[in-house]
Amino acid sequence: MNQIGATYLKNFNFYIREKAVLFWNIAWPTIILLLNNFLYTRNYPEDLTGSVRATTTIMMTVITIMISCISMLPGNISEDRVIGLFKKLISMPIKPWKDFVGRILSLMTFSLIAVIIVVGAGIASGARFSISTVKIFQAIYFIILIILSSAGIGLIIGSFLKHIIGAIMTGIGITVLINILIGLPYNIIPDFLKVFLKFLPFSSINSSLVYILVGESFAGYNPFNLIQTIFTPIISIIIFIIGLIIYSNLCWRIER
Amino acid sequence: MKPVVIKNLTKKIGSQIVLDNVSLDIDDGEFFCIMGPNGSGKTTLASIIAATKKPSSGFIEIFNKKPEEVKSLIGYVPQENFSVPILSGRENLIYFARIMGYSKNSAKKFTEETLEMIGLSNDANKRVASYSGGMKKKLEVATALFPEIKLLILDEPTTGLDPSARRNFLGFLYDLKDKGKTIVIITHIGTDAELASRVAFINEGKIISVGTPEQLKKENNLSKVFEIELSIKNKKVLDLLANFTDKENILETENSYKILNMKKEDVETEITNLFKENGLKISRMENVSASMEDIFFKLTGNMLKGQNN
Repeated sequence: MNQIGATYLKNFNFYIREKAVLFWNIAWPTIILLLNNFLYTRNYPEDLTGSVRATTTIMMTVITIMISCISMLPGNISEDRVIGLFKKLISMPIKPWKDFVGRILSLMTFSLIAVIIVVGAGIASGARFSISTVKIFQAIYFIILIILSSAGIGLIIGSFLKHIIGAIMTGIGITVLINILIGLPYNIIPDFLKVFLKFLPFSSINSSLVYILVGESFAGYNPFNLIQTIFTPIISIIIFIIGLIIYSNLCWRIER
Repeated sequence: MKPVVIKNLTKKIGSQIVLDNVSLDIDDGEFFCIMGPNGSGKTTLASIIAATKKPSSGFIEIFNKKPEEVKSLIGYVPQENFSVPILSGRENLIYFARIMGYSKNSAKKFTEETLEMIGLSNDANKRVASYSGGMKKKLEVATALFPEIKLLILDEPTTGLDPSARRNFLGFLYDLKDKGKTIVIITHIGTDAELASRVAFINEGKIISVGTPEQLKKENNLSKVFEIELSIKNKKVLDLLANFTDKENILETENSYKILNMKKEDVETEITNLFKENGLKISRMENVSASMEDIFFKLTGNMLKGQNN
């Protein structure tokens, strides 16, 4: 527990002390959300405004988690590689899985704090969700899935890219690209892309969250079909495991 | 029980042989120095002792066990700075103490005592990003000072330090030796090696000589060398010096030329006149004690800092 705790604290400090991390994970999504909710949706019909704002809030929540996991996690790993921390850790009596657990738990904590701030800003600016105990548990389940799938990609980027800026920018690029796809109104998306987005965990999870917390008309379709219900968690976990394997092999490798 | 026993150790990377049949014993409480030029394999050897690399073949035991089985007894300080810049000095030490398995309270106790010992108590709350090179090095060596650690491996610990910080740092290391730790220092700097109880010269992956600094000087019949300092360095100077020795006996250092085996004695006047005739002014000329770099040069014909004649 001491080793997991040490790793957790060290990485959590990275997230809360780096001003750029705080800006891109918390300030930036919150600013976009507030701009949308106060400026762009102010002329919407009153009965729709709360739901539209809730949909935007969910999207910004997904983006927040993705930035944390796909961009800041690789930045954190790259920095540790650049400063030679892994070389030192390999010589010490710590098992790689303990470092990994500490890293992921700190990432989850930071992501959840960011989510709470973004959702809080959304509610404060008029987002209205359809809430029940079951829906809250469903939402937590999907948030954990998106953390896992995003962290998997983050681990892959961080393990391959040894430059901090390169790792962060690659993560931002992937996040922006995916979110452009997620942000497109479902009815204008070409059919082949609809199929792709149903298998892409990030878009599937975004639609699922909108479906359960806002309504089907805002999700564009019902994502609780058999294929998505089975494949979304499986693909998320597979991406995470691939990331974990690559991270263990590249960052903790003892040269033979 | 010897801290380090290495027999016929070889390390290949691809087709390149980085370490070639290395054998070495290090005794308990020794201040042992592995000295060689860049690319000689000394860092690879340190990494194998510290369990961060595996040998291709050969035998290595640390305290009678495989290196990976006794990680808690080894304190490895790699050449690069590894302390976490976003954390303070105190937080860094607590982090590494807890990685060693210490509880929160024990880690704090160790940290406070160690900060006091290394003289960083006043700067302990500053982020490491604001530390000087010497402060970082001290902090990083401190991550290898846990009571259970018996063997310290320090890779190029004085590189990048200014002369004053270097002297302070070496003094600090010498105090550690007196506390009973076995210290292995990897370096290409001769004055660092002068402190060692024994020195192993490594060149092109092979250990070429091992002994105390005095033994090595005696064995190589090199107690004094002739040193000439000029304000310039060029081929003409080398050609002139070749009148007094073979060219392979001339070592070009950062500030001077050293002649390892002078053919004649009492040549100061002759050298002064010859250089004067050629329009060159000598700033200093004297017999000096041979350094570890001089011995390495005599043994291999190579210089430690990668300068070429």
